[in-house]
Amino acid sequence: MHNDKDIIKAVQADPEHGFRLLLKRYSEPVYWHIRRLVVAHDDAQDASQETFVRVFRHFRQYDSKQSFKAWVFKIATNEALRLLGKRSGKVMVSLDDTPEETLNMKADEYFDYSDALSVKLQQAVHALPVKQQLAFNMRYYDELSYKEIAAVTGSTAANVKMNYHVAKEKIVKFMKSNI
Amino acid sequence: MEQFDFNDVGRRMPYQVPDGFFSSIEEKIMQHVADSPMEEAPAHSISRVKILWRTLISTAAVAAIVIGLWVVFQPKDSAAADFAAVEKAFDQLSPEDQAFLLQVYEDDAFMDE
Repeated sequence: MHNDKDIIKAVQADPEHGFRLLLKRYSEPVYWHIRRLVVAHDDAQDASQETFVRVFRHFRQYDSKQSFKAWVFKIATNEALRLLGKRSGKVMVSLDDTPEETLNMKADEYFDYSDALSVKLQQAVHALPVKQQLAFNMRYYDELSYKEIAAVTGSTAANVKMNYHVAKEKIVKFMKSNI
Repeated sequence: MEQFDFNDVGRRMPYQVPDGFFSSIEEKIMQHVADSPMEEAPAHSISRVKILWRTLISTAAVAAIVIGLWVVFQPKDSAAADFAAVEKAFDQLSPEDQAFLLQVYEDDAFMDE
């Protein structure tokens, strides 16, 4: 697997080849990041496609002083929030919102209800405000640094750290009372 | 109340995808981007810096001229006459220099604040 620097150089040298490498590295993490936010597979697929079209189109606007991973995740997050916003009749859902639609974990063909504990964990995550969901998901599942998450959410590393710990505490509380 | 340990779940999720999903989505995306050219890097970051420098240089030049004129034509006995002296000095400038000063004032982004 190529690292970000190699991928950036490859895209600059040969956009098509380089972008294939970029997709190999990022298609799964980006899809799962979006899926955890929007829940339904079809929505996650649409938002993932749109994310990568935007990444490609705006590739030259990427500032090499910033984390490339954070830049890609920021575009993906915006796509997911835009999609959640559409559901509630807004342009984009706010980081302080807790979208109700995802709380119920809508029936989906690509959802394993038999794994009760992981279903409960996702329900606990979706009971959080979006900014806490983002802090928890990107730290727990994607292992982004607090600084990278801050770049995605337009916040500070200290603020993200606080949101992550608050999210964990709320999740533990939710899980204890729902097991 | 039962205990909960994140290690009991790890990174397991109830979400699934159709077989071969990731290779098929990669192909779809490649088809999309083939019709969607990369946009050029924004030029505004460079031009904004240029504009800022030009504004600062122009402002400094105007300030230097005004201070110079004020020092040269400052009446010794009346502060109220300062502006009149500047006006008089302005009147003595060539039409080109007057036009340049007026233009700088008009273009100065900070003048109206």
